[in-house]
Amino acid sequence: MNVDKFIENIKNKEINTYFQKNLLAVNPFKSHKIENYKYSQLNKIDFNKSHNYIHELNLNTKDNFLDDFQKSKVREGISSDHISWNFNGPDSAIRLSGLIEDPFNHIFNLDNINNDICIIDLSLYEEINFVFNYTKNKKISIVIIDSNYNIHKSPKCFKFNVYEKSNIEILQMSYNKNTSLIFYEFNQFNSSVVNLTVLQANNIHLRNEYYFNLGSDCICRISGANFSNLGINDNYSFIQHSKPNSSSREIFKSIVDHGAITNFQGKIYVNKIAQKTDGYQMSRSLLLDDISKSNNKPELEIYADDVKCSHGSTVSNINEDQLYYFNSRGISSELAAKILKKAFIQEVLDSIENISLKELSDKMINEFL
Amino acid sequence: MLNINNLKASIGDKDILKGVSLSINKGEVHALMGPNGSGKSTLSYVLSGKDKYEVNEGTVDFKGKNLLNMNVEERANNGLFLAFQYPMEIPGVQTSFFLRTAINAKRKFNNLPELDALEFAKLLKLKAQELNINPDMLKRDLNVDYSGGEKKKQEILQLSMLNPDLAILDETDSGLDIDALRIVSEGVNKARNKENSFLVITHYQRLLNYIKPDFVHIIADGKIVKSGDYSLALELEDQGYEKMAKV
Repeated sequence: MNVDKFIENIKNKEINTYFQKNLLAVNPFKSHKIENYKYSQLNKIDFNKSHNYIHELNLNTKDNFLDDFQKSKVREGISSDHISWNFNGPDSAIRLSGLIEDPFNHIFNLDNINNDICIIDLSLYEEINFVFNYTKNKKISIVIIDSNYNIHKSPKCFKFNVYEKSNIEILQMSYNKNTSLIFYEFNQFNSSVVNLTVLQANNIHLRNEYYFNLGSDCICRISGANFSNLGINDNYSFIQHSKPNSSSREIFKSIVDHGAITNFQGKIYVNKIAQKTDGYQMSRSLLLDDISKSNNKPELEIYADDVKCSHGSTVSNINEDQLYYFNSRGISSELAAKILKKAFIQEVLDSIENISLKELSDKMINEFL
Repeated sequence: MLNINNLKASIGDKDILKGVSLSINKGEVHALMGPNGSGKSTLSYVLSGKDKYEVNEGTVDFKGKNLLNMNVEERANNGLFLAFQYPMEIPGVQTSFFLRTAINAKRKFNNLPELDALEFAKLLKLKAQELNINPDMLKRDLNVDYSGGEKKKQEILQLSMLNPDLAILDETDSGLDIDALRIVSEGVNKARNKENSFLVITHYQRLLNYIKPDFVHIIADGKIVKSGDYSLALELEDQGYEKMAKV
């Protein structure tokens, strides 16, 4: 099926990255027997049955938070390389509509977009294998919206070629009863900047994987928040420092309750020649009840001898003393817990640079927390 | 206002309060002094309702209601305020947001409409100026990277914003330099009126130079051993706890 087609497709392309050679060559539904991915259980899940869960859910399912943004800023756009996309001035956003003939192998040239924000709605496409190329120094923000009962039967794949000195910001919003499988591959050429923010809320099953390949003098920032989900939520990141002087900073925060399982595995891989690498990775979980589970597995694999790399991982419940402090000021435990949960993922929100996207994300978090 | 009768409380197996009786009327300021480990802070935590502490005996009547039956936020909303010795750091929560949430929680409890952003900002600006607080501080995360003095000022700011009926100040003077002590005390004095009461817990008589108490109590080994007026604090300063607390 599509997975094989996808792999075949990737193999035929020229760029040799660690990702293509070693990781995607195996079936993306990795078996839990593969040591590298010990927490995965996704191969046991029948995704076609996932929609049965939907009726059992009793969670908030509104997405009104998107309405204002859509109305005031967003214009529909046609995805053709022959048309220059410029709608309603640079402050507005463009939303790609469903006119893509071959979504399985489509190359977007983001240089053609003059808007600051470009929105891609995954629910419009059954199959996706998008390649994005960007060469400009001007920062562009891509919003990937993955929502509304969107059940991915096959992985949706994105590949970003971020060329020299270009600067790109990506916001992934996965919410509302999704079963979501997304693959990202980022090829960062020298001196490029990627700022990826991931918000995952109110989903049934998730498996999102993020592969980065960094050239020299690159900056790579990943911030993720996973909250109010059900089922199994897998996030995997692999950051390869291929050349010297790059820095990567990853924070991933999960708030786990309702018996959900959250897995995070992140690896920083430093090549032998990638001296002066500065890598940082932190995964934190807030585990709110006894039936839920959180697995965090930070990893470093370093072959260079002059690098600064650190990682950390914590799992905790809400701090009782903080809760008491709120109570002693007349704030109920329920409201205090909500504020403290928001505070927990505030750092992720702060990492979003575009102000209107920050507002949008803030609304989304308030909606689902 | 507050009537404590033979209050006994413990933490784990350890008895800390061994029969405290204290009565505070409207408009009065009481000072509670005592050596380390005498139960001063425990009394303040028991009154605010921290669940680590267990009340074994005695009654506490607050404005005609049984205080011990209420949970922490009910006590606060009924007008009890505890200024902490070590205020909690809350990363990710802006100080001004916290204050607004607290005020609106109290207003909601009293069936008053919530303050809107503008009204709140006006009130906050006024109160912050009184305490000589830099407005930038209010944009930072609550108590995170605050100096000792800033934390205490922030507690007194909460006090003046929430306007409680009974405020307990738990060693508010510790960690303050002389100027900060004066500013904090002035803040407390401004909040003082005929309708509210204060219980000031301290080791040192110095704070009482600024906040003049109507009554002074000495607590030792979980009991109030001596009560008197302001002169008792001076006497204590002169003679030390060891001698005074024996009686």
